[in-house]
Amino acid sequence: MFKLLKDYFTYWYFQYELITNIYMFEPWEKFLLHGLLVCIIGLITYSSFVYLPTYLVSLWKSYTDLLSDFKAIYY
Amino acid sequence: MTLNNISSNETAKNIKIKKRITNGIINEDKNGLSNCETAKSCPKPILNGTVPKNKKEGSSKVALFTAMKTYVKFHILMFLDYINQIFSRKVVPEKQRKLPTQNGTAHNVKVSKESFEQPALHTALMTYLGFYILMFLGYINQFFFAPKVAREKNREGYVPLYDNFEKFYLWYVYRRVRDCWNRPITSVPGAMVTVKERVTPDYGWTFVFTGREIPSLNLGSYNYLGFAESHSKCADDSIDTLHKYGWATCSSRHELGTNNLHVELEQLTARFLGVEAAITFGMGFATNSLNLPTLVSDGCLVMSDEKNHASLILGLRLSGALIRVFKHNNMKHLEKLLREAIVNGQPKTGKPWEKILIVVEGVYSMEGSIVKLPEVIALKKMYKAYLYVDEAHSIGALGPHGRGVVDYWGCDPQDIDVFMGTFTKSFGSAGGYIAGSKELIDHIRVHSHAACYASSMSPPVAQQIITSMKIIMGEDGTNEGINRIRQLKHNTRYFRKRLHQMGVIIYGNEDSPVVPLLVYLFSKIGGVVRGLAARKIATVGVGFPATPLMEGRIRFCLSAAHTKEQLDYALEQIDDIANELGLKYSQKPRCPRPIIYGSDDDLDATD
Ligand SMILES: Cc1ncc(COP(=O)(O)O)c(C=O)c1O
Repeated sequence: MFKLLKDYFTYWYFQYELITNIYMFEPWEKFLLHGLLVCIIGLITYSSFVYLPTYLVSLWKSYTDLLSDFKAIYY
Repeated sequence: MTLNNISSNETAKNIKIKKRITNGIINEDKNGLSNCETAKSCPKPILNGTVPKNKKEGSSKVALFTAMKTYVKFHILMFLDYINQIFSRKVVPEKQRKLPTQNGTAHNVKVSKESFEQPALHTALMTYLGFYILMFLGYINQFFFAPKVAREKNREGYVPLYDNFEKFYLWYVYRRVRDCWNRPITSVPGAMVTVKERVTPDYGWTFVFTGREIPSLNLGSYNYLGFAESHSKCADDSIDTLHKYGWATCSSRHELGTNNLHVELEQLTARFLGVEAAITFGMGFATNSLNLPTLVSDGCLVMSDEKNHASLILGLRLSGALIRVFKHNNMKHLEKLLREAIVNGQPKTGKPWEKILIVVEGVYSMEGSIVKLPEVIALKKMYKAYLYVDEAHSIGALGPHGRGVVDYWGCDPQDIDVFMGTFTKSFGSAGGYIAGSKELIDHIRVHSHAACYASSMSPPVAQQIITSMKIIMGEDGTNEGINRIRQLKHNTRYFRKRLHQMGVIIYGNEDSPVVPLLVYLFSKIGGVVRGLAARKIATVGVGFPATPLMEGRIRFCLSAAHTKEQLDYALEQIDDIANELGLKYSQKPRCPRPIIYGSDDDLDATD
């Protein structure tokens, strides 16, 4: 089971390396590219944890406000 | 003296047609001698010695700017190419095209089973993405960490040694997978080849030998009929010749370099091809590039296939004729271009063309496709053009008697004006020939630079060709030639069918012994070649300058020397690697039945 999982991950890691041509790079270049990728993904996750909840709440609020405005107009 | 006089009948008709079409004034005597004189005496230099520009090479600002410029320019081009690819995506249905019958005799119509399957959209996208990353990091690397060899020193005022993009490509794309090419070998490249192992300590800038020699299965040589042998009748004959005649004649054909072997070889070649005469040269590349300028010149039109070999392109450029390039093996496009060119005449003056030459190859070495000869011949007759067929890869390898595309399609050799071919592939030797009518050959013999200045073919090399050609023709009194041809055919069909069943994309005709397997990405070229090398299979990867940028491929060359067991081993390993690297791009249905080697439906009625 564990081996299967490992095989699966090595396969997809290899695919990722091939498709991005990372397979051909020198170690420092690999490091740079992986670093860039980790940075981008990290920033995305960070922002989605820090800003997304408050942003969603405010979005919801404005939406309900809008609704109540409509209600005020029609009823 | 020119090609025009060869069949004056046709020329007269040709001119009449032009008259009808263009209603112009024709200057019939303008061609002829004067033309070939100009072609001979002042060929256009290829590297038209670019005048050194007063560019300051030293300042890094300028360097950065030019780098940025090439980068941006390149990416715009790439993007356009990409858009173009998306919109021109098509599946070419292989339908049988009805041929116009000539003189009431129906052609022996053979269906060309050729496929050029396009990959799925996401594969194309991935390929582009990978390439952008490669370029991006390449530029970063070049800018910050350029090694010593990458700087030209003390060259103030000189033209740079390398073109900017070429340099970048060579050092930051090709260099990373350089270990996959130019691997030194230490044995005869027969069915097996001994490869010297080497390692690189600095990512491809330099290599060192480890001293190990690896016997590998050879799927990379153009040894179609397996005549590259160190112990055989061919080798023995060549050694005898070596003792008798020595290594070289040390002179050109026009002077002291002709001996009876050359004469015999030329007569034999002509007989083999079923034409009147032939002339041979010591080098295939030069046969094309130095003889085309004797056939066409300024004022002529050349229709050249898009995938033609570099030697043909060089020859045509040297000749100064106007070159129109038609899409690969696309007869409709050829016809369209021909019509347009004939209707419009020469650019600027509008005069009719002096000659029209169609230049095609028999088997295209990068695509594995076979020229649709009957259709080309029909077009050639209809538009009164001349036909030049480069049979470098097809001679020996195609047709029930091994006599090339003409034999394969069952055409008449008289319909082809100029046969060209090389002895480098099927005959296991070196050199090239041109064959055709006696007038043509005499003209070439007198006017060609290759006949006049190049030293003649080495006698043992000529003997190797003579012996192998006689074996193919069956003149040695055995069935060996026919057996080899049959073995190659079975190998080809079997290998191609198995690959297709595997689900990888292969290009080309089912009868072509060149089998390009599409892998698209640069990294996959490297991965496959390295993987196969580790499994003791020697192959060749082909990348950008030889193929379109995004169509990296692995080229397998089959040989009559391979046995079924060897092919089975290779296929097993290829399957393994295809799974590992994800090469099974094909979306076509696969054959569910196991494929049987040399099964009956493999054989044609002609066999
Ligand atoms: C179509 C074609 N013409 C000419 C040549 C040149 O032949 P040679 O290698 O004998 O110089 C080649 C070789 O690769 C070729 O493929």
